Amino acid sequence: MHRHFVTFSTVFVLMLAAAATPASAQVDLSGVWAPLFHEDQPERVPGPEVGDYAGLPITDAERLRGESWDASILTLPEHQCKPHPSTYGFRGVGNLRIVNVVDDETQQLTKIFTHIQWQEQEREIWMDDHPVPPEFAAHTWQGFSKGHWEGNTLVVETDHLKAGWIRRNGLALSDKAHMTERFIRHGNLLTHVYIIEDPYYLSEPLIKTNGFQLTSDLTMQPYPCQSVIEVQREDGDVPHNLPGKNPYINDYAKKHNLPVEATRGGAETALPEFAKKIRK
Amino acid sequence: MNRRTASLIAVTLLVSAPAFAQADLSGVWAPLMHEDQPERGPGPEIGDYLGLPITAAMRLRAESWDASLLTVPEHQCKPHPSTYGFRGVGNLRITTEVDPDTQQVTKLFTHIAWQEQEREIWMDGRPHPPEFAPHTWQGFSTGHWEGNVLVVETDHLKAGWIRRNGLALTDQAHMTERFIRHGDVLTHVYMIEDPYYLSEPLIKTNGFRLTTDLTMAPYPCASVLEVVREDGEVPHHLPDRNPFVGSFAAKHNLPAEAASGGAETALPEYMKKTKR
Repeated sequence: MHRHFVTFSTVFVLMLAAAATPASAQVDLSGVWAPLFHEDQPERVPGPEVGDYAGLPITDAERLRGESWDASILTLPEHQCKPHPSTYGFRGVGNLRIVNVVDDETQQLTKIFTHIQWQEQEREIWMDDHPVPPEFAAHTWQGFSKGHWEGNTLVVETDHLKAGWIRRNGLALSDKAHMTERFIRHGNLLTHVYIIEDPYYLSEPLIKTNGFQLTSDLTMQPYPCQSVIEVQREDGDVPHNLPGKNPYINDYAKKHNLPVEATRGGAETALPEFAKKIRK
Repeated sequence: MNRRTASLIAVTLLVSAPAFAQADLSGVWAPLMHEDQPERGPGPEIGDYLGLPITAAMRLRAESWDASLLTVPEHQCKPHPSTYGFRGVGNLRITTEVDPDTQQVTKLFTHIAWQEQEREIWMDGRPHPPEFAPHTWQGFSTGHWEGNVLVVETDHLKAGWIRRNGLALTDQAHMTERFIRHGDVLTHVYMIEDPYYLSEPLIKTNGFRLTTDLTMAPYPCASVLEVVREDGEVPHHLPDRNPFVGSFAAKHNLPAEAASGGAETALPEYMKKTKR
């Protein structure tokens, strides 16, 4: 009887161990992650300087759009409570919380929620066969995201985005933008690689990375936002700069003693060869 | 713009300071078997009640237990109760549910692979249900924070067990747990009280290590006829008729009295008593 019981227990444990073997490599990304600012800190925390487009693969249309932008637009009530779009939110300073949703029956991952504190950027990444919405479906700040695993890397494709931005100095994105992300976990570090394509505002894909460190702190404050009148304006007055009339656009080049041409951006400004060209 | 943005960032950083310490326990945790492995992995020996504060009623109940009970179809798909599940070998997944408006944690889910032990721990201050509410394998659990330690109180349990050799619990058992995170290691302390089967609280600890592996296989279970029996036949031993209950003491050359447990057998002084 005793032997029977021990044998039964051993078989039982072996069955358990077999059942616990993962079907495929899937990394658990859940938890609260703090952003690391070892990369691009001046742009991401204090904020980019007006007219700094160096090294970004922007089109002429994007440059014109960037130059027409006026920071005072953020004082308009309609703009005060905008969250970052998913094409920018992971660059921000707030903690990132990732939560998994699992199907009760299959124990398969069906959805991942990401939440970034500032303006409560809540995002759904569908991990099941959820259908992609038709083109005319609503475009949102976070867009429609679908994920899949490539080895232990989470790959996410996002479209159905509202017109957003890639930098907080007026560099915009159209609502035709598409983003591909890769989430790569190395122990308690997370690398977030994102590639944005935009047929109107980017001549080549824009590729950036962000780093995060896992925290053991659960708390995340809510971020209620209510717009107020910050500046009295005439009805219909929208802060802007007309083409060629932005008085601040060359300040960045002047301050850093850079050729204006370099600060205007474009794909070639990202290449080492460009330094030689401007020296000529 | 920079001044405005700097102010914005400063406000964001201020708002992001936690109101009070709450450790994030979410993730998939692998059990560490450094503690009590022989009991938790291969399983306890029949008649080993050493050091456990059991009552005479509990001892009688355990001695009547027959391991073949687990072959009866009604018993094959039982999950572990929450009073035992964390002792098991399966990974533990903890998930946090947050109220979207307040960002406060309203519920924690724990899931253990074997027999899909899914448990809710309510964090929103709700009261426990009335006594007549259903008792379940995982019970009704409410949690609160003491510093960064999660404290959970559980009642409304089905009659369960504390060890896989027949040591049972009644449906009046109450469990208090503490979950303490130290980096990637989790200590789970649990204390069980039972007015019928335990003369003192039973206190045990389990260790877990955070994994980065997300996958957890489902555990579908369908009972089958393992042993053909007469209708109504339930494997058991009548009082004093269990032929195996003294085997543990004999094998390890222990006094039978010590192996039969009771609160005093947990104390160092008890050794002197048995040497007399």
